[in-house]
Amino acid sequence: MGDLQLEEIYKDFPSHRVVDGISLSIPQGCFYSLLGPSGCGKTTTLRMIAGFDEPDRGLIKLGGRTLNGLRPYQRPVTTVFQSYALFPHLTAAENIAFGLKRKGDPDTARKVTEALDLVQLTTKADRLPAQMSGGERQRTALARALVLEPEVLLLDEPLSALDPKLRKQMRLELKELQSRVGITFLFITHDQEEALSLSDRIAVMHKGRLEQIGTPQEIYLSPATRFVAGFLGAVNWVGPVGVRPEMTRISREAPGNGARVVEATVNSAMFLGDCFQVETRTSAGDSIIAQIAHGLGEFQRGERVHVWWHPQDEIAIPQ
Amino acid sequence: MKGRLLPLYVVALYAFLHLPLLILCAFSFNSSRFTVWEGFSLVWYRMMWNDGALAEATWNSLLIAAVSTVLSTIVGTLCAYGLWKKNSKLLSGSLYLSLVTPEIITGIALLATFQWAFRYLQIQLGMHTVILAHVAFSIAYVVLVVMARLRTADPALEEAALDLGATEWQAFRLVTLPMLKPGIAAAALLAFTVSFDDYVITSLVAGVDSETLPMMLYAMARRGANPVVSAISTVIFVGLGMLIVASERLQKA
Ligand SMILES: Nc1ncnc2c1ncn2[C@@H]1O[C@H](COP(=O)(O)OP(=O)(O)OP(=O)(O)O)[C@@H](O)[C@H]1O
Ligand SMILES: [Mg+2]
Repeated sequence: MGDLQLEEIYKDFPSHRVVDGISLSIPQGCFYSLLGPSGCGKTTTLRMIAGFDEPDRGLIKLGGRTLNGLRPYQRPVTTVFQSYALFPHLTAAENIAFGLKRKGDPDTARKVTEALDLVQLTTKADRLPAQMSGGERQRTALARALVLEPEVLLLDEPLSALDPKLRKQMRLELKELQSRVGITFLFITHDQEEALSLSDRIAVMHKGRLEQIGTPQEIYLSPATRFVAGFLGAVNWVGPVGVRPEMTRISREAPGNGARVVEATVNSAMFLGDCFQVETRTSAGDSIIAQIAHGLGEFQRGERVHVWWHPQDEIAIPQ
Repeated sequence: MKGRLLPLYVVALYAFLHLPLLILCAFSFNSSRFTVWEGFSLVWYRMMWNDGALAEATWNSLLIAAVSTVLSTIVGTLCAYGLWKKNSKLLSGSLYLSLVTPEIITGIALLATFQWAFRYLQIQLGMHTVILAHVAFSIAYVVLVVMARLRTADPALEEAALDLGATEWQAFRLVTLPMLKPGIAAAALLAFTVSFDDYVITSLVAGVDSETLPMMLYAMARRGANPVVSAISTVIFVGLGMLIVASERLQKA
């Protein structure tokens, strides 16, 4: 047991460099997310940790022990695949028992029962994957990987195949599960909301490099680069300064007490259900979007307004 | 207009396809030796049943088909698996070349190869050469069918098995092979039919002890219309037809 460490990992595919010098350290028991856009090398990184691919350079260590060169079945990590990769000819219970049987675990039957119970699939134990719903398949895949009590569980966009409603529910279950079993989770996603809501720490990846590592608050509130700021949520850029739409206010009268103010014209106002989204344009031509609560007044197109925010809400990118 | 033409077209097409076989089948139950209907009879089936040479040829055909099916299914399945893993267009393409090579050319080439080899080995044409030839031309069919199944498989399945502690061999035996089972069974049935059917290649590489059913039928048919030939053909047609239907079912499973 111990921390998972990647030291200066590089991986080239014939066409280009996919992982470009990644170093990170994942504390034991942490819910750690690797967040980045499609094609940035997340899956490739995970495959090198699992042992399906070998890095061209760099070390992968778990609790001080080097994993490089070990076959997947020799590594104390298991994977929840994006496609789940459940064995189609085996039932839920048999899928979960697969790894225990390979180890010759004498406690297989009891552990399978417990794992089924953990993911609330006891009544579906004898179903084949084809007879299960998306959520049930997802839970089977989780149980199959967790039952081996790995030191690290790798999850490759495990929620992306689910419909939005189930996704939110599974997100809660996943978080709950992780705190219950206490195993290190390395969670891969391109969904910033998922990463923010689940993680203890997030590493933001872009074009094979890490842009920033930090807690969800740090990443969201003090992004280190423009890419991170933009990837985690919408940003209004006013010159070198950024501010999130939900921190942006609009009023007809000029605000006092040290607020940063820009004069602008309302371009459009949209009702989004939980708030109004007002798009304005400054005389310099910048577009500034504000999300304001109901009851803060309605604004008409063409109206002259003051757009403002508190200086502490500004995103300042270190140069 | 369209409503009436379409059924007519279908009937005509199926008649064109199957009428000759139906006629053949009908005359196998004719009591006359000639192509004039005289009455229902099983006399030709009785003659077929009592023909010793025919029984031997049938036995040869079944034995050859069975042995070559087992061998070509094993070799072909492993070959398909390897091609799928390596994902090489060149290798799979050159394999399918053997499907479009005219049978007569394949036969002549095999014969030449055997004769060349016999200069160094003290053996002759016979059952073993027929079986080898059948294995050679069945493999491509097996690969084709098994590959079709593999292409729909999730490549992550074997990785999942490795991830859960299986060795490469266990991953193949416990995950890939069971998943391929319907495809392998369908491939075996197809290999069996193409082996049982074959005349051209077989007649070229057969020895004195290895006359097969198609070879015997061909010889009998050349000697003129013979209702026993019709009876045998009917039995083969029905038997192989059932195998094909079974194979279709398996492929869909
Ligand atoms: N086996 C391979 N051979 C060649 N290129 C590959 C291979 N696997 C991945 N790539 C390329 O490497 C890059 C990163 O792929 P990777 O799967 O790691 O991305 P990802 O961040 O997981 O993206 P996504 O969110 O879409 O899953 C992509 O440009 C991809 O085309
Ligand atoms: Mg991916």
